[in-house]
Amino acid sequence: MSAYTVLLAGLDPGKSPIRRQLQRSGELDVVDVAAHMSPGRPPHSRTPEPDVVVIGPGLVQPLAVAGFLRQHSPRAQVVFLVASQRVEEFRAALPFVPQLADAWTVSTEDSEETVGAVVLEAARTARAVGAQTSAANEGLDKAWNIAVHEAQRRERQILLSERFMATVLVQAPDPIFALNARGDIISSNDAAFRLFLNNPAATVGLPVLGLFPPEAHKEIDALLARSGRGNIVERYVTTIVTNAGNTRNAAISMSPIRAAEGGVMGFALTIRDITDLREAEKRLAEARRELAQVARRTMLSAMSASIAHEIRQPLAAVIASGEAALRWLDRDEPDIAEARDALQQIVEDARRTGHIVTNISGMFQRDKVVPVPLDMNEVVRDVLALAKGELERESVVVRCELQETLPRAMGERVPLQQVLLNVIINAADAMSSLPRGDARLEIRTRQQVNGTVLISVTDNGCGIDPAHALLVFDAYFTTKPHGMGMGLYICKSIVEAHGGRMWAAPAIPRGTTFQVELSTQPANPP
Amino acid sequence: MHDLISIVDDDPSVCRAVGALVRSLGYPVRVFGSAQAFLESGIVRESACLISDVRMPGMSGLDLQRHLIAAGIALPLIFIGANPDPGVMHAALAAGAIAFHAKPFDHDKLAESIDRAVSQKAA
Repeated sequence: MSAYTVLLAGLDPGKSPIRRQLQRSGELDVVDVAAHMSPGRPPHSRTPEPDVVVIGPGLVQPLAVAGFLRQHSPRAQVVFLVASQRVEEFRAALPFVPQLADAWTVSTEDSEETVGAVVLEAARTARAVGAQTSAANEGLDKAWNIAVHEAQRRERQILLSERFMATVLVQAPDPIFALNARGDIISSNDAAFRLFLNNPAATVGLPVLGLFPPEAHKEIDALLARSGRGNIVERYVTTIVTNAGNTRNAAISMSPIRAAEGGVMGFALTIRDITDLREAEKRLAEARRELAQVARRTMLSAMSASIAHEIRQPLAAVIASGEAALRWLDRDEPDIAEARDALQQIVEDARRTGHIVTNISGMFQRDKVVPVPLDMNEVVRDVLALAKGELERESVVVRCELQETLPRAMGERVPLQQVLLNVIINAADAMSSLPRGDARLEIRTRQQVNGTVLISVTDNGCGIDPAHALLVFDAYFTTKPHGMGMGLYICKSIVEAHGGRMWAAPAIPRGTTFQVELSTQPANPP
Repeated sequence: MHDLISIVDDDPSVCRAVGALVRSLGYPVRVFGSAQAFLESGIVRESACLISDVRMPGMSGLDLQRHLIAAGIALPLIFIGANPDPGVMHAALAAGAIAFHAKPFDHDKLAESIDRAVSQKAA
């Protein structure tokens, strides 16, 4: 005679003595639903129809599961294993459930031997009613699945129990306070205790305002009021007092806690200390600013060689002409016409020098200049004069199409000169690999339909790798071996500080066009 | 009777001014805006001395010097440069240039260099 098949459902791991007792019996073949709870392990394929189903206290709906099993396997005997205080309740209720009227009930307080004896008795009863069928039927499969599902649901309920949630809150890395409806501290977690260790105001029973400096009290009251109306406050940045005189930056979140009847009975307050984050952000911004300044100086020093060349040229001409004039006049028969020509040239060259010097001195000025209406054609011409040496060295042919009726754009001359200078020098770099004389630089200005002024600089150089198209304006992005990747980043920030836009696009058939769009209206900075 | 002095500089005002200065020293002068223009002028061999800028678009002053040496033309060379690089100065002088004057230059020294160049050509 084959062993009796016993199905265990809803038996907590803590009840292992009973489990062991049943398994020890040579007459019982025990199958535990708990062992089949992991997915992908169909329990029914090898399981014969049970003789006994033991329903432990772990199921949420023990009667429903048992009833369902019984419906599909009428001869199986059901044994309820319930907490001792519920035994009477079960025994009283079962006669009224048609399918479970003959079910057995034992207490979890009963000895293993007693439980084992009842299960064995139930098994024998089942065999007396009818023979066990060797294959599981469809209904039993379903019943089994329901039992598994029920057991899992029970486990989830345990996980979501108050104790579980309390542990999560206590262990949370950010300070959390529970407040009553008046805003007094009711409870807090470990992180709150640690952060406010030296602030005596962070005590249960005291108003939560004690966590904040007096100047923040008004806004905290406002947040409590807002949350009191049922709103969730998320990441509100303020200041907290961690000990006497020591304040820190914090982002606070507040959620209303609702009572069963729906009213707000208190608040959950989460505080995130963002002081270190703020400091790091500040240091990063400073580092960026410093780097931008270094880059600016590097950019300028790269230009200074070219500028020096531009000054020395007319200066040399002035001196040479002066010497020549003196010589013509010092002759036995002074040559007035030659001397006059030479003097005329001195005047022209000196003017040219003065113009260049004006541009350069402007370039090194650090004072903040208020945007003024600027003739961008003039700015383009000034920059071309400064870049002349560089462009000539690279044998770049420059073509300008400057719209004569261009309206004035609002801007600061010097930074915009730097932007154009940087773009032009970049263009010259991009064209340096072209055969001598092939490099073409086109600079255009025009008024657009929307009234803005557009300056475009087009080269026929190597172009921008499409993979880099979105990166060229990023800080630290460079394709140059010694580049710092700040040039275009600074340019773009200068143009954007003007309320303008700057972008790059591929030129046809090759090369790159950089465009700068500037407003003709005075900017309204945000 | 005087020796012809050729001047090459891409900056027109420098060209004119140096030309005027050299003429005031008593030399006939021809000025050119580029090295190519000078080489194609047909007066390379007539010149007693060449005063040339260093940095010019197209053929540079050093390129011009190398070209003349390669062509076997013994033309005394005086360089004038606005932003002289020590390496470039050294290369120019090592290749036989009479002098290298940084702009703006001292006219007495330039006059002295021209005298030296002309006497070298005559020798």
